[in-house]
Amino acid sequence: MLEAFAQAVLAFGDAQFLVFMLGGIVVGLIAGVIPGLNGLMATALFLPFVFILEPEQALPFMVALSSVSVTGGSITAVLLNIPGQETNAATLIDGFPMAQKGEAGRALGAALMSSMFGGIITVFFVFFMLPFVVPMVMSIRSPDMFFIIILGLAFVGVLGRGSMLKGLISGALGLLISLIGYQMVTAVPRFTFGNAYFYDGIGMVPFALGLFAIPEAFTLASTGGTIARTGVIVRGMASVWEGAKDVFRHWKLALRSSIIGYIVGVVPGIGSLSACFLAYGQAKQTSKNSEKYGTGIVEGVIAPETANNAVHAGALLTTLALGIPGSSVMTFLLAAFLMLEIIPGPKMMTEHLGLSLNLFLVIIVANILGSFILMPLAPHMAKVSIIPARILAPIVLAFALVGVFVYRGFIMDVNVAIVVGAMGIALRKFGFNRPAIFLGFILGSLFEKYLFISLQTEGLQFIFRPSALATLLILVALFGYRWISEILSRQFGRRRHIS
Amino acid sequence: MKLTGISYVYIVILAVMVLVISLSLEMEHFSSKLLPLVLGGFILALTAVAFWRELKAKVRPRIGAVEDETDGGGRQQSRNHLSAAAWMLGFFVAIHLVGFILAITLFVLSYTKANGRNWLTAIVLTIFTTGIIYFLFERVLGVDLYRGLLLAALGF
Repeated sequence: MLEAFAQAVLAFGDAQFLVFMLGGIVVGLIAGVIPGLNGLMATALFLPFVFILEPEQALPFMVALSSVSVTGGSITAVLLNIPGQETNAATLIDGFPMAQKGEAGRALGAALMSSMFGGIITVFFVFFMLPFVVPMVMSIRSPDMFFIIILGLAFVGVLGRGSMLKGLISGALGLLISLIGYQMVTAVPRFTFGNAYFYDGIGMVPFALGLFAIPEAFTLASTGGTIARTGVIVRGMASVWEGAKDVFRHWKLALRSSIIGYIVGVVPGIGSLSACFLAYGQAKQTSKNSEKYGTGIVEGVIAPETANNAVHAGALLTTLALGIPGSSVMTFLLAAFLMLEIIPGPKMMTEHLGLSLNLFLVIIVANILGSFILMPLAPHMAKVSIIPARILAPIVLAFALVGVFVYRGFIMDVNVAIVVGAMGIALRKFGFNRPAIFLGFILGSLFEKYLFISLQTEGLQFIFRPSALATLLILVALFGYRWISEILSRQFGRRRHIS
Repeated sequence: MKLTGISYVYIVILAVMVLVISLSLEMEHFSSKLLPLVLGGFILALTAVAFWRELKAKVRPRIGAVEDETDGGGRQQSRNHLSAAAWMLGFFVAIHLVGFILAITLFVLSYTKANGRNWLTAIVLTIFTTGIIYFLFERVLGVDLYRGLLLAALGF
């Protein structure tokens, strides 16, 4: 363990590593500030480059980018009443009223410092949990992995936003699409219609960019208008530091919010948005001044901003240890790992422990640098969000389609991305769960592999393993929870989103 | 009975799943057809349930549901969607005909101008986007971006 930790720290001495990590931080902050261009899309747009980079270049870039994009999103939430990302939605409840009261600097300082706090402390939670996680994941066998994939898909599908049925259909559709191409055991081509392009299956990059970037570009193009209105001016740095100090004055609240974010991150599918509102809700319920929430108090900024950054470390742990992404953005990280031929799962906690620890350290460094870069620049960076949506649309589309082509140099990939994009637009419009589709797609080959290994080694007996029983019990609890919450929502006459 | 947009999506998924199951049944080995059959059947069953629930919900309108989608706002939204789809399709066709660099130049310039920006903004944005893509991909990464059918026919 100590040797792996030393290896993780030493990687920071490599200039290339540092350059890519810093690049990820800068891109993540800018993507976070621009509403409509979030961390998820920035990570998706970067995916084609993974092929031409080394793991020590691509992974710190992607982890740093995804760690800090949510930090950037707090700026527009506070100054412009527009969440840079949907996970900053809870921040504007108190952040913008603070800005209107002339406390914009304090709100920004609190948001940035609590983001840093949540991002860092949860990495220590991970380090604390590692001695327990490592032996646990080492005992996992192929049949267990098969059931873990089922659980991961069920969590993402069932706990995701919108209808449970659509979530399950989405996950299964993703798995089905992944079956296109040669079957690994029999070499029988499936659903290829005799076209040689499909023999190797649909590429991960055209599928990812088609499913996510093209629908986003379409929304930007059809929504139009200017994203931002006139913002609030921040004068001087003193108030920013005052807000930063507020986080330490309310350290118990920040700690509680970090724990909420961490737990939400560890469980796949719940999503950062739930973490923010859960943290905001607990802050309000446990406060002596609960009636002041919503009028512009600093605790209302600290709780959600701590929680949304706290999600990341927990989500990364689940992604690395089990190969099941803990959040939407982790789905792209998982895709990047697979493209680099590093298969997340138990081996990440043994053979690649140094790399895993290194990525957690990247979260710490990215959060520190991201917050300190933004503190003096925040008021100026908010101006970036004045870029009209219709100017962003062609840029996003151009980069997405060029990225798709660069991936393998096939123009057919562009055609596939367009078809998947059209599908993505329809699925988004009608409330299907796109992260579940993508997760099903990238886990499909592993799902089939583990199924056949299990059948070959244990026969049908593998469905009677303890992990199968545990999966069944968890699934029953999961469906029961979702069913009860849907009944309660109908009872109270309002639609309640889980994430 | 008037079907909603989501109902058509369900009908398409049902039709595709029937096709998937019939194609799977014709596959050679049991190992090849196992997962497509299981997944196809699973999606077919879930979609049928969702479709049935959608039809049932149509009979008993939900409280607060939007009754009339053909109002002015809805029509404007549809126009915006059609316009965005047409632009994207045009860009896609242009990529095939004249390749990435020319298509991006034409698309960004005409799109930005058509959306109410002045010529200066449109030209600056076009140079910025095309320049970054050309420099990053062709120069730095050494990627030969697709030249398009027309340019290829002309010998470029």
